[in-house]
Amino acid sequence: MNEENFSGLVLCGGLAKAYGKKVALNNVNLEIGRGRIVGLLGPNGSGKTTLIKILSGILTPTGGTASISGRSIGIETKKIVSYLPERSYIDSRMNVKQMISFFSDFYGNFSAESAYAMLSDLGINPNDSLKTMSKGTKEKVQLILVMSRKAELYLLDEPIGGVDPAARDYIIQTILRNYDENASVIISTHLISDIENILDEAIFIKDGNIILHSEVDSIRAQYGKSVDGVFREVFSC
Amino acid sequence: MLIKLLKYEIVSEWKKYAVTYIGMLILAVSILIASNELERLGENSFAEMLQSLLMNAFALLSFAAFVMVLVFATLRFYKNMFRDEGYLMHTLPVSAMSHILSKLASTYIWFMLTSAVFMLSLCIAKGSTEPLNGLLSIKMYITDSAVNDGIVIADSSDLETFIKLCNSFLVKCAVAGFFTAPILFQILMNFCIAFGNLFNRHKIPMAVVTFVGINLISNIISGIIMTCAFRDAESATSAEVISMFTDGFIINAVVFAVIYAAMFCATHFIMDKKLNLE
Repeated sequence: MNEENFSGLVLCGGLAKAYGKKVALNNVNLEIGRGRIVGLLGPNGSGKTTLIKILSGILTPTGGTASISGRSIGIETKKIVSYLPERSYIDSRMNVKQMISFFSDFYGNFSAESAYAMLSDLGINPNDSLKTMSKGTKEKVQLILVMSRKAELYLLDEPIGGVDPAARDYIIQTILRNYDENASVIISTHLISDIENILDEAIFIKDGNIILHSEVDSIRAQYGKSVDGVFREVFSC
Repeated sequence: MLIKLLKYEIVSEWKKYAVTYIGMLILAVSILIASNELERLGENSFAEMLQSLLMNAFALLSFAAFVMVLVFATLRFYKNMFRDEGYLMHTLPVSAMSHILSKLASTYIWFMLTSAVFMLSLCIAKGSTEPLNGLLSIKMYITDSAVNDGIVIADSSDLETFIKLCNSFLVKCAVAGFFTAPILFQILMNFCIAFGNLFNRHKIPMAVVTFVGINLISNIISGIIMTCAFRDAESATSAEVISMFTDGFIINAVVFAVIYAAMFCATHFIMDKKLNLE
């Protein structure tokens, strides 16, 4: 679809990324509307993280175009995209309070009140140093920071991979609570059964190609099984 | 946004520097106490040894403090821009230019602050403002009208004038070098790191190779310029030799200004258009 006629949120046209000879994304064409929760599903090395990184602006594509809300990836899209990487990106010399102050300073759409409320729900002390936190707690803090923004697009790369099942439920509830009809969430994960119930759409990605992009209900109806079941069938070794 | 970035740069690093500065000041006070004791006791081998040890420790720590500024600035740029922290920094709604400028400004601030603490420590160790007077004499070298007047008689074989002129020029170069070195060093390191990041593998080794390569090329260029500048030095008068040296230095400065400006722009281009956090 032409960028000018597109009223949705994310538009990728012929998007490609190669690391030397290795192709990570191959001619990806993608449209995502507003108010959607989209599962980006695929095995390791399929190109999920590459796609998310390109949309967040930390990776430069080798071909094609990508836009968010009609704008090419850049400073303007970074204002409306909230990105959670699969690794810890916070400065461990800071404490949680300082990170909240950091986010408040740089993101106009960040709500410190919302962040403190979520920290309280999860029993995390804002004065705790990030250096002394466990990996799981750090991930929770990162997710809280990311979800405390009123963004238009949330890019969550493996948000529930490293946390316990109880926290997983809280995270899923947090995602549901924080997004609105103008915002969309793209979640990359292997733990499909945990998030299947909240997904509107699923994108199956394999070897850098999108092999399926459809409404979750359509997938279930078409294949007669859950999205998790379809995933296991499509990506069976 | 630049000011906000700079604020976090300073906040993030101040503890490391504070420890060093406190160490320098404590050593300076210790030297002063040891000197006073030595004066009071007269000849005392233990007090002399202690004073010498303290002075060596102070010299070592002061040297380390200046080196530390440059090492920390380089590590900070690498970790903050191209390692895990880069995932946050590059998703802030901030331009690549602001990132680069905030890092350069922070390096400069720490370098100047380290210099100020060093001078303060020297004054404390000496128990007087004598070291500051030394700085004033540098100022005299740069602006002293007596030296400038010397140009008029430079054609003569007046050795004293020749030395004065040389000293004046060298002091000017040293002062210019002191004020520009931290920025130039970081521009070079930033470029090497950013350039190394363009490669899919062996990013750090490629950054090191780039650093060695640039230094090698810089030395060759500088050598060629100075050789050309001094080609007729054998038959030249004192004034002509000084003029050759000045011309060679100025051409060098212009050429390197262009090279460093190119490296600055290239770093910005890589971070803005070719960023690859893998």
